[in-house]
Amino acid sequence: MDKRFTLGLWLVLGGAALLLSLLIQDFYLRSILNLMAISALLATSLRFVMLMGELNFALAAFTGLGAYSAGYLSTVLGLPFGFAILLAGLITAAVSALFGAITLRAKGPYFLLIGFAFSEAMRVAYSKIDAVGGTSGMVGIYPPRAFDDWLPFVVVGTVLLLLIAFYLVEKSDFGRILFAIRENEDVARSVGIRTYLYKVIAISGACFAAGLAGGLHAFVNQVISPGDFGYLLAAFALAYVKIGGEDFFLGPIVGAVLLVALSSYALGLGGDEHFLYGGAIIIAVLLMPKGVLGMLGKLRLKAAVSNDKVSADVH
Amino acid sequence: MQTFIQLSATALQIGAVYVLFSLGLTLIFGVMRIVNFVHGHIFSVAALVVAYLLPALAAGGLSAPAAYVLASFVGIAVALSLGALLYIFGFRHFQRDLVGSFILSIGLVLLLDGVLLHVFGGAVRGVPEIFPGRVSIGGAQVTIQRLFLCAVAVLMAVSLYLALGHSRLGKALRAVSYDHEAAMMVGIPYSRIAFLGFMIASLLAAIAGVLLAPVTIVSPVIGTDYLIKGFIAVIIGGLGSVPGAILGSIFVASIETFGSYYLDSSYATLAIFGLVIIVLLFWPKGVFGRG
Amino acid sequence: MYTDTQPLLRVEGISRRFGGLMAVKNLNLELRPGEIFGLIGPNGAGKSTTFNLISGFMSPTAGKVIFAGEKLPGGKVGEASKAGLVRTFQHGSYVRSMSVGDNIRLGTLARVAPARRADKVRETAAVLGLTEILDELAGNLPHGLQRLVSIAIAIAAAPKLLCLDEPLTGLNETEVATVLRVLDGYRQSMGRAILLVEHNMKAVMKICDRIHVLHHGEFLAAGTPLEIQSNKAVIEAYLGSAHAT
Repeated sequence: MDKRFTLGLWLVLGGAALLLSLLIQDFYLRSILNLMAISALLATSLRFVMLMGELNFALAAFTGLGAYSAGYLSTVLGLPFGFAILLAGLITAAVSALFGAITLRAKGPYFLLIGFAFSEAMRVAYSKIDAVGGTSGMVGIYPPRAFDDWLPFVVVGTVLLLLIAFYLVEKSDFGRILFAIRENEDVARSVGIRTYLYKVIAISGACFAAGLAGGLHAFVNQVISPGDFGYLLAAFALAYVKIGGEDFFLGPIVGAVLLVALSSYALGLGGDEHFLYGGAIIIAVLLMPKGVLGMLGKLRLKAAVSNDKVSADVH
Repeated sequence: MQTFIQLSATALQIGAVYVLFSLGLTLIFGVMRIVNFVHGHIFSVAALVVAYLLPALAAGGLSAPAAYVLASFVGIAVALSLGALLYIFGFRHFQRDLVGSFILSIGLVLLLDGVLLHVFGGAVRGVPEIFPGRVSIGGAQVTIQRLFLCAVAVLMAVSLYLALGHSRLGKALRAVSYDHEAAMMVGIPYSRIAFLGFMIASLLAAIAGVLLAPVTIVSPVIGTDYLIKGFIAVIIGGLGSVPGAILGSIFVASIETFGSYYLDSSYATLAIFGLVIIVLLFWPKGVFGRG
Repeated sequence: MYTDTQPLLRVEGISRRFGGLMAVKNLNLELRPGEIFGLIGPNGAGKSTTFNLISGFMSPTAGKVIFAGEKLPGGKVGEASKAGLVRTFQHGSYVRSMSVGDNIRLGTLARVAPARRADKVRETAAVLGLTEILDELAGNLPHGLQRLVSIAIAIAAAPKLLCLDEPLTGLNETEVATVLRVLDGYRQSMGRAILLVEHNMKAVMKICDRIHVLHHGEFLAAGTPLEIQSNKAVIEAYLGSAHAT
């Protein structure tokens, strides 16, 4: 990919998103935009860990940890918005590093299922801790008054910064190592790379973003409860990645935007959004294994080939 | 002492259901290397059919046991059909693709949740007891219904273990589970074996469903809860291992029963998770998982 | 304190048992800096197991491995590779969906300073004749080039001891000559040494300074290529095919 093209794409898409966040006044649309941004971040975080070949289903647990931390830091300890969210991210990064150090020795389906079990266990834990509201959850997580008009901008802006970070890391040597770990970990180990350490760092970084996303979620919704962070959260994130196209950095973002838009449309119809999500996922998985972006890529290739054919005929 | 026996009996009953679930999950993983999240719905469908058909048949004049047997057959048939559909149109294309099959199963879970809700309604149903009465074993009270459930679960587990060890199909299943390429090279029809493995697993889930319907409150979402515990049992025991599935199920059921009694059901859940972490620390592929 | 006069690698009484089978039994060998050491033996002799034991991919049931004066903890790949013991694998010792350039760069990421990495990639590619195809995906290359890429990755890690597991399998005459030339040049660099497991006898006899022969997991013979070629026991072990390529 052309470096200038990529930079241009970032500027255009990022700029458009930021612009929308400033211009849209309708309350409902603003909340959709927030949801799209946060979902895109979660999906990208999940895809980042998929680069090294693992499905991080503990994503839900750590998003919840971030949300509850931010909520607690803000409502109980009175920390300002920015600090609460940042600290929430750091707490999540630390806990997820510990989690990863212990669980990453389990691979593939085992790591997937233990992440799943962990998310369910955390959900139960939140409902037992009265200090964070127990089963009823936490309320009154208000962003500062000054942000009232600017909240989508702050959300989109924060998400954009983190997406840029994910992109830069993926394209760096760190990203190459993750890729090698997925495909042929033995070769990486044989040249001296401490692959386990890299895996733990990768999970920690990905969950830092998830924790931050959780914090944003807490302030955007102002109310959180244990049920928000069950395994479905990670399942949806995975759907976004797969439907957008897991081979592309933009994939999870495209998937998140499409599916959030789809589900809001479904809600508008009074339908059951789970049903529609499920249907969309099934269709995408069966018919578009490379996701929307993969399909577009193939169509472009077909068009290019037939163009060549035409020009060959002309000559 | 009596409490201990009573709790053990309860643990065994719950464990029986988990065994039926985890056997199916481990079988599917062993043969196809996939994690099938929609397995719980096979169970739900069977249970729901029984929950709805049984009262209707009984009202129509059949005796309770006869109605139960008939309803069970129908329930199992419907559940198996669902399983076959899921395999033929879905999972068959995702063999050995962990991520793809998993996402497909998530999509199916969401879709089927909606479908089941529409078809059966959200209301919960109780099913009348088929085998009334209780029995005293060592001072503990056990309902005959639950005893029947335990007996069938044990029978299924033992049959499966023996069949895997000694029948031709069993050997084929094990060969495919161990090394599917080698198995294909010696002429084992992989696709057919995978299909049979999937259907056996579905049968186990369906049987669990019809057995459980009379002793529990049936709603469209009961499958998922058992599924989660079933998966935990399978992680502990090792994906692809039948003894592992049984061991894991007993562990989970025991902690759940004793934990809920002495502490609280939520702490029991946390304890189960703690156990999983400890097991994986020493056996990253489960206690009997293969390297 | 390790100095150049000491052996670079010392294997003392290494054994490895798999259940009832003794794959490797009480093996001793010494490798000096600047030499090319060949490990040969008929199929099933335990060469791959020995290789895995030395490089930390397997832990010995007895014995020890001493590399550059430090005892290596058994079964710890990280320790061995960080210390400069780099190995290749018999099959697919590269990353299929990364480019040749990225593959070679992977080799540099643990042991070469960041500023030097791009140069190291270029140098290594040049030495192995891969400069033209740096942007090609490794998975799309013909087998022979893929082997060269595997070797390039290992060399790019600037190892003190380069361990190659049957590197010449499937290479044509020109490619074999290239590899042998590279290995010869590598041995000239200060303190470097090469451990080679190979079936291509012609190449082994040509390039190795010393050869160790294994049979049924045990030591059979050791010596210079000339000595080994005329060793009766070795010839018998190979059923008269000691000169086969």
